[in-house]
Amino acid sequence: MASGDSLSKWGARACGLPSSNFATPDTRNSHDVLDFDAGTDESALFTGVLDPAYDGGGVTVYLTWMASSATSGNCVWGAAFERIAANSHDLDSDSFATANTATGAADGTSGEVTVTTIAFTSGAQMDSVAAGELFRLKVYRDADNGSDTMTGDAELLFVEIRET
Amino acid sequence: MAQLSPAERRQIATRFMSEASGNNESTGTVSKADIFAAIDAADAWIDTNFTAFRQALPATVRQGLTRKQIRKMFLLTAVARLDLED
Repeated sequence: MASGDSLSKWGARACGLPSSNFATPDTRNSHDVLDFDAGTDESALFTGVLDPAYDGGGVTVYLTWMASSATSGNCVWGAAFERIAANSHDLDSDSFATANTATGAADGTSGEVTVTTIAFTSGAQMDSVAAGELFRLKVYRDADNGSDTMTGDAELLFVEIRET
Repeated sequence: MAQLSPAERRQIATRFMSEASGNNESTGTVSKADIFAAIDAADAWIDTNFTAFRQALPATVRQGLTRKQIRKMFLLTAVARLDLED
């Protein structure tokens, strides 16, 4: 795989939801979105297989989102990997690696999207997920982070992982 | 009259933002910190002016109703005025 090539991708509805503090499925002009609250950290879970052609050089998570009501302010996003390999860990409990975060700014025009990227180096940051392996990606809004200043929900449309 | 706790005021601010999002209401360039400060100010204003509100009521009401009933009277009137203007 070359840098920038797509390794995994999901629309908003292709997610699993945790038992509490989960992003809320919604639509906006028939676009499926996940609403992430402004006051409470909420998350969504995306399960996939890392493309067997992954080159091992690390990945970048691309989050396409828009503000529900704001036209300014910053949204702090986080993402974390959980490797699911044969004989690796008991799925009855979570085992996500430490999250990486990035801050994105709401578009100045309501309804227009922002793409926020979060980079991960190969290895521990990706929970050592290897090419061809099953994994979960947790995406969350760090709403109580002091740098998260955007009012209202953040609406996530699409998640993609690309070779860095 | 006691003020709300910081956690209660935060819950109100969170609810305000959630309802704005759910109703597709624009909050423009107002920041989250602005919303939190506004709820703090609203709570403080009600606390400061509640006595004046009670004094504006007929004496029979001031003397005959509980303070909670009088607060409810204020709330119901305020809610009814919600759509009087933009």
